[in-house]
Amino acid sequence: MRTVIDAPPAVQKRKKRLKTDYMLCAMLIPGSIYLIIFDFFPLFGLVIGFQDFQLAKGILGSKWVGLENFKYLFTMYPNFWRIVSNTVQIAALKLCFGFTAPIIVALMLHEVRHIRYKRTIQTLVYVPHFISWVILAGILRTMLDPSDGIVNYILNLLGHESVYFLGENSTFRGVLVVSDVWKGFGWGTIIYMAALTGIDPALYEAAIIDGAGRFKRMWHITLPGIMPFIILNLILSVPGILNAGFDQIFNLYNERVYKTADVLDTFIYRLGIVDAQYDLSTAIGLVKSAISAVLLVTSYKIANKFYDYKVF
Amino acid sequence: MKSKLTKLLALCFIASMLLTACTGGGETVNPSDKPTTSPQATEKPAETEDTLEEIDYWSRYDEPVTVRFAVLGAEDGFSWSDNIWTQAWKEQFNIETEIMWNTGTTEAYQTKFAMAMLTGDLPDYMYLTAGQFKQLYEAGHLADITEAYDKYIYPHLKQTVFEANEGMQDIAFIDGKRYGIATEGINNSYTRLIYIRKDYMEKVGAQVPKTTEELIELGKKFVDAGLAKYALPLIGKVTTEAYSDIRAIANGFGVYPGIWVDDGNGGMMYGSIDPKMEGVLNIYRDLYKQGYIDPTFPSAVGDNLTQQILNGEVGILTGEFWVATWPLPQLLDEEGKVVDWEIINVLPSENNTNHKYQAFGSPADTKFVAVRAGYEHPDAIMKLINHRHAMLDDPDMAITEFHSIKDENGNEIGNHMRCPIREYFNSPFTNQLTSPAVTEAIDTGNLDALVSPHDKLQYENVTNYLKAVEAGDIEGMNYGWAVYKLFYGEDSVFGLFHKNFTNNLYFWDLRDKTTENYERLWGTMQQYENTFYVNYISGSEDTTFAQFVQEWNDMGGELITYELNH
Amino acid sequence: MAVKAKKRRIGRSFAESIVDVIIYSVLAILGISCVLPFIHLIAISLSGAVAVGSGKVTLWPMDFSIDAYRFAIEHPSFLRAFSISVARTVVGILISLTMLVITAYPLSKSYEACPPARIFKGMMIIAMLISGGLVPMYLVMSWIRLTNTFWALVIPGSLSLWNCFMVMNYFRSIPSELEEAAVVDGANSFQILVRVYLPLSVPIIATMAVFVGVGHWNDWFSGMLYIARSQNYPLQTYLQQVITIPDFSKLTLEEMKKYAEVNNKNNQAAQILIATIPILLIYPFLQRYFMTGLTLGGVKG
Repeated sequence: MRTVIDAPPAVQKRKKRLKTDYMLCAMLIPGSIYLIIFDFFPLFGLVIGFQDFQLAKGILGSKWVGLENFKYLFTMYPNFWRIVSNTVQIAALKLCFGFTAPIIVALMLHEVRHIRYKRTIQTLVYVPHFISWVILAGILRTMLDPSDGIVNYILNLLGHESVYFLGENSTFRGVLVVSDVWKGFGWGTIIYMAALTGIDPALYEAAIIDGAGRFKRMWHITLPGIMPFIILNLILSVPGILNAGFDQIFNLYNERVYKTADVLDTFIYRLGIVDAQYDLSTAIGLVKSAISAVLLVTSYKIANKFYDYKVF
Repeated sequence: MKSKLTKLLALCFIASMLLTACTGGGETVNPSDKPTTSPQATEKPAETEDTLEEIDYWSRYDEPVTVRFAVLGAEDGFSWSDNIWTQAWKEQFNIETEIMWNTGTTEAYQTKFAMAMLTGDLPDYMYLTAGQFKQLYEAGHLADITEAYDKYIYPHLKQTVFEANEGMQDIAFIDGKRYGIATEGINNSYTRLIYIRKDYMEKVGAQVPKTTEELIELGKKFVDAGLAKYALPLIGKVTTEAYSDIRAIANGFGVYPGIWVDDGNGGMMYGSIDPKMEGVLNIYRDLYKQGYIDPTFPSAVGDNLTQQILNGEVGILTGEFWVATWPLPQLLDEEGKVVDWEIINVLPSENNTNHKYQAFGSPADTKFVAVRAGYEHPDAIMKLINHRHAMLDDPDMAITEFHSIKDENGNEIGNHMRCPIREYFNSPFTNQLTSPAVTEAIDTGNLDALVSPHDKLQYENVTNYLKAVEAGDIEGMNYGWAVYKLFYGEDSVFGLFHKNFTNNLYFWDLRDKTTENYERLWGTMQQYENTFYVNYISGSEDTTFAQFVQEWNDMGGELITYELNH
Repeated sequence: MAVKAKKRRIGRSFAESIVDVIIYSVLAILGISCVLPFIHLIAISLSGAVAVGSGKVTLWPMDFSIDAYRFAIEHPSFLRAFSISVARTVVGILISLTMLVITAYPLSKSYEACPPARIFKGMMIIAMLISGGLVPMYLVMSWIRLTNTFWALVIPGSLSLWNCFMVMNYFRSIPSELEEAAVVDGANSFQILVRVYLPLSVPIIATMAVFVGVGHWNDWFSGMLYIARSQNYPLQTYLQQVITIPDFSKLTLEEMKKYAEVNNKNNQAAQILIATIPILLIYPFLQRYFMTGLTLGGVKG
């Protein structure tokens, strides 16, 4: 939902009411309770990351070990850095393509003059956004099945050997990126479409009179018109660099492709749940969370400074 | 060495579960052969009630007692809390079953159990890995069941299962108190076997090979003759695939990947990094280069191999015993008969004189039955364990209905694992002892050789098969083929196992403990090992074997080896 | 001069129409690519098992059969999971919308009128920046006794902070003159919210309803984590377990058979499609609100 909260909402000047409206204040009570219970209480659990956590002793009694868990993860844990690199690589690939595809599609849609055609395409390309990864994983498994999947059927028709896309380290990431871009590109156009409608049609008319061609118009009017949104979007995408997509990967991966597909989130899950290493898993979750927070604050600051972007 | 072996064997508990899952579970049980026992569980134990009353094994509680379970398995048209088992428990003991939670997948089960361990909201009956046992003991979540075990576990169960060998239960005691019942540990049931298609051997005019080298040559011959597609079947998990993996060949060369072996200096080392392993991998690598191995094996899974077998593309398999029960009987020849396979022990390589067969698991992998601390009726859980054993395995009390669970319409919906206690507490030697007993009973007609219900059941199955052969009844032959192959004769699968065992031909995992680093790192290291093996064989990685060993040691292998040796 | 200009225009429009053709076709391909997998799935679900196994079913059913749908409809677990998902989605939307509206409304006002809003926003920012993670969250859920209840599916996540900001921004876009008129009539804040703001906020509420509803419909993880009995799983958790390849070594033969039955490709396809239908049904109806809702909630200017 990040992308849709972009431009600054100019807080409207209202008549200053000096009196406190208690009814308004009361409305914040349920929200406060919610925040305290579901967002703040779990924060106390983060101390597990600094402990040698023992079930017997619990959070209050376990021994404090300072940064030992972090040290252990960073210096000793096999494959830790490979997982970090997988995460960043997958997220970066997704960002790269998932970020540019909507812009291109939006620019193309903008060139369509038949409203009905445009609407139909828009309707179609939004659909994948609403389908869960559980279901898409099922569909992908069906389509990419090495023995009876349609993709391999087509490959065979073309004289190519069957490929087990979800079982090969060489192809798995490709599947992740393509399916992720496919799922999101349509929905990603929404913000640009909204921005495009805001461009003054007079600019185009003037350009046509000046004899500017289609590409010139796109280059000099359309693109600058949405450029702030593009840059803003890019800035705000950066904090997601450690989120390679748990739902997607968890439902698609298997042991054979851990080498290229195991990312921080899946690792945290397996470490914390399957191996019951609560302390290590919390520690790594904390690191991830902290890095994301720093990136988020930084990118928000940048967005705020240069584009007057405000969330609230 | 000898005493070590005895100790290990003492801890050995063969999960004949799988066998029962495949055969006892109704696949080969002819309904008409079933004893006409009432399905009501109470009847048999009730008969013995008088004699046993003073020790209270089967007595009923006056007030209902509730036992809470957590179960792995979905409830698809079946209820974990209301089925033949729980009904029997209610009737027999006045014990009520409550399911705290159940899941459809192993992953979900692990998730929920990890959370339950964290919150302490545990089921009353638990079946734990060694690691969980230790963690929960330390957290004070396990009940002291010393008394409950001593007093309430039925003598026959103690004798034949839990204390089948001296010292087996030592591991369950902490500070002189019992916190669990040690069950499954190591076993030899999952030793590799070699399966060769007889019709293919005839077609190429070959004899049963005597050495690993001959076996590989035969595999190539099958391919060259256009019979099989690949010389040795291989799929993704090259050292842990029950179907067919490289361990059978490795064992022939005296290499034991996946278990801890003697390092020659009185310590132990990990078999997968044995320098001799490189030679084994090279054999596969060469076969792969020459096109004798499925080029897609790195990504292949069991399903793919099943398909290959059923398509007749496989001439040799190197897998576990149950392959004989499934899928081999599904493969029929033109006359509709099950295709016959020669099933033999792993073959030694030409230069390997001191050759042994690899057994699996380690005593350190023992699993434990445990009771939640604070649960008021550990005795009730002991009774349920007695009941489960008695209904399935006791010579006098077992009832076949419990082996195969049916729905209201009489359709079979599952085997004995359709019970909130899914574990099967049976003798570690069930299958191996059944084979000579069945063989003797058939050869000499001496039915007294048959002791356990399992013996009797398999005897029936084998005689039915022999009758079918005589009558030329193809359906009956196909039906009984697997059981025949498994149980009848010295060279049947379990006959071989029995012989190997008595002749001390097994090579056991020497690891007898676990360490924190082992628990923490082993999963990752195994993955690394498998990935390397796969990539090495398929030539998609330049890492040499020495580099792999180095990397393995750096990842924590050295540390773990040190810890296990000290 | 005039002729020349005309000529040039014709030339350009020829080039342009080629570009048009390219753009239209690329878009058509993209649009179709988004629905082709579903058509393929429909074809599979309506084909015979043998045809599917042969891998030759593409976009049209072979050996037409509706057995897969019959299987799904007669499969008690599937139906139950479906109805739990419906219940969860409806209840989840109601709870979430209520939370969003009553929280966003005071936040859209000035700090003078509602001083705690300042603190609340600070809390929201902290909550957005850092989270406790899975294990601590579970402990809290267990502590407040929500685990193993239906409410574990609908209460956590009911106040999504991003959504809250969007509603807040939308409220701010509503002209304050309307409110002032109501104040003159003596209405209190709550009445103003209900009488003035809500009727004007249909687009954002509809948008939120879609987001929240789709989120609930698609969520599988909390079902796995918080629901005790597999027969009470919501649909996506059920499907996740059906679609995931289980560890065969831990299954009995009967379970393998059962697995093979439920996971027969046709049956799987039918179940997936049925699970997708509700979303596709409400989707066009609500699509028209997206633009307005999202534009005013977030993008302004």
